[in-house]
Amino acid sequence: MEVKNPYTHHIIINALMRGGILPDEVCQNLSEWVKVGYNTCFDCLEGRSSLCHKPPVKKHLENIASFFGGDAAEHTFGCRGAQFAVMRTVAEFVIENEDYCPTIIIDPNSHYSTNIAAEMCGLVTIEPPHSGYPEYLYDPQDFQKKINEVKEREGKLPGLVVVTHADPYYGNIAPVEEIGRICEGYEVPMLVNAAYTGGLLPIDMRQMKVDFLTLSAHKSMMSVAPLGYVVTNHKWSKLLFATSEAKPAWSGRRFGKKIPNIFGCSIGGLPLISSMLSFDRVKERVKHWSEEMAKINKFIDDLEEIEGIMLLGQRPHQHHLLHFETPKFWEISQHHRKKGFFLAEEMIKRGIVGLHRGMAKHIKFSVYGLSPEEINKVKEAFYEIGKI
Amino acid sequence: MSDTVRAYLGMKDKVVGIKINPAEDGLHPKEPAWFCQLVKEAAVKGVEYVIDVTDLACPNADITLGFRQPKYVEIEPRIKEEVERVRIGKSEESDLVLLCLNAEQVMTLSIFLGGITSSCKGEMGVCGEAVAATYNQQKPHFTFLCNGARLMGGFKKNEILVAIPLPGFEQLNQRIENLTKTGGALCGCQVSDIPKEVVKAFSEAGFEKGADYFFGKIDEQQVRIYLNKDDTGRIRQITLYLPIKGEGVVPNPPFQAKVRGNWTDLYAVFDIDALGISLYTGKNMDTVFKALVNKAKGGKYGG
Repeated sequence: MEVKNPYTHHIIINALMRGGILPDEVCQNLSEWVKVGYNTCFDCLEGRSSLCHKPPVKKHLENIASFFGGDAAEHTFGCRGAQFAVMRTVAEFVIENEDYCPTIIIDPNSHYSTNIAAEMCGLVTIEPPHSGYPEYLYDPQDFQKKINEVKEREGKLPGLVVVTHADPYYGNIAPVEEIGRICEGYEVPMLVNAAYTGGLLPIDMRQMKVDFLTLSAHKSMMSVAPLGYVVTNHKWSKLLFATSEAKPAWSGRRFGKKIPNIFGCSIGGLPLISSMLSFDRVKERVKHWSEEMAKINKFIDDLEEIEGIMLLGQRPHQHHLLHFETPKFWEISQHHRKKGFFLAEEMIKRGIVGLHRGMAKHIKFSVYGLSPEEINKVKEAFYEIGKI
Repeated sequence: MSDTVRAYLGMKDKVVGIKINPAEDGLHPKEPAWFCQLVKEAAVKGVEYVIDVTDLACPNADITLGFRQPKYVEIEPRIKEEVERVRIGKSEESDLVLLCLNAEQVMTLSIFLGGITSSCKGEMGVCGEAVAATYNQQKPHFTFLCNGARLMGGFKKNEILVAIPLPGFEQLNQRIENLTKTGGALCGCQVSDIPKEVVKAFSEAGFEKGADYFFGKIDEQQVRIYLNKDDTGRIRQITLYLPIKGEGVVPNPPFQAKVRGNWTDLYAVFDIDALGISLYTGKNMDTVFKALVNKAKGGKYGG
């Protein structure tokens, strides 16, 4: 079976990928690590990758926690693994603490993995509403209403509030600090899912007043997949990162260094090495977020020159994920022999990859981190296709 | 094809195809056996047999399957054409397939098939109520089986057998593939739960469904329609949006203007009941929307 990447020379505009693209020098350095799967385990002494000193995983996790304004961090099997760890912690917390119930409040633009993690942990989810078309914004006060609703109905506080920092549908930046203040007032723990932002723009979870931050290294931190991080404060780290207490009855073995919420010893290998190698670049690039956004908003204006094409979500836009409604392309698809697939394929022909195949009514993509020449090429490609 | 259905339903046993009078002969059972016994063996082990009347050890299957005609009393259901041999095994090129299921799996299947109707008497379950009835009527049947199938055939007490004509099984497979490929949406997640009847009604009024709203043109004006949900998730209101490039648009009440980037949205929210339209049938939609857009356009367009 031939396994080849046909897009090595294409401009990538997939919004999931743009923030995760590795710097060239990291790709080169990775070559010395690729031969062995368990490449973080050569000098492991304590039986958990997050405790390794060589390579300095422990130090790296301290740096991650500090960079995002937290006290402790662990690496996870992607951001979904991080969310699962938090949800599982909360599921146990509400059993132990009679002031809280297993109902949690999740924003209405959440990534599906948030809802799946809650489902896996037996947590009941409720949502405040969003404003609908065309901005899909929500009001922090609606979180307060939902907290009160739960309190009235259950006689207990919700176990958790989850807010997606930048949502995966419209790229809206959530009002996390306002919601954080509300949660702090009620003493309801709060999780911010920063999969689409952590590593791209400055984040301080203390300032946000949140207890948990979940991150995606391969989405937004220039890393090989799958890798995520969960960051928390001292108050929650004891529960979230509690080590195993299991003792099988016959053998009497113990696994005291392993953390059950992250499946014992979390993912090591190439993803973790790549993230460690990229982290200095990540720290540097977040300083240039406003420059990136100026470039992106200019691109939005240019693309809206095509008849009927309009950005959905916040204006001015504050994130690199762009969701355009594209009735013009949909009209073309109606008489094109490839139907809705024509758009992605026309882009690929022009050396640009990343639009979801089959979609022509709406498109989501990103030009984050592209050079002005590359952005221009993307724009011109859309202009050309609009004339088909 | 069988694997798709098995995986979706979570079937332990294999799908068994039945071909009446196959063109080619094949492996016969080592010794005469009950028809239901051979079906169960095919379902569990994946074996394939071609049988004739000499391979059958049960008292009724030779009649229900059409190998012999009844002499003194009518037996129903039975295949009335003359049958020389029957293939039990692969689903490809078969006449019908048999699925050994539990009650929950039959429920799921009946949703996909748009209902299954059967009459069960607890007699000749596999050969008659499943195979003969389905072959004769060319529609799916289920059977709660018979004592013979449980005593001799090896079917368990909670098992139900469903028979589906091959074309129906191919359609079932396609439906499951479509659903599992997309999760109900091209990109894997549905972002709205607008009922399909509503989508159809809007389509007939000239509007295409976007992510969770409708888009179209009225008198060359781009129009968007969003169905507003109240706190309980019920759709009570709709919002009409007319996105207009530029600023300086003066709205005509009840429309309001909101500037959003390079656009000005003329928009108004309406109670669905007050508009006298039906989202489900499309009643009055086109005339009401046209009147509202004309009203909005009564204002001054700057832009």
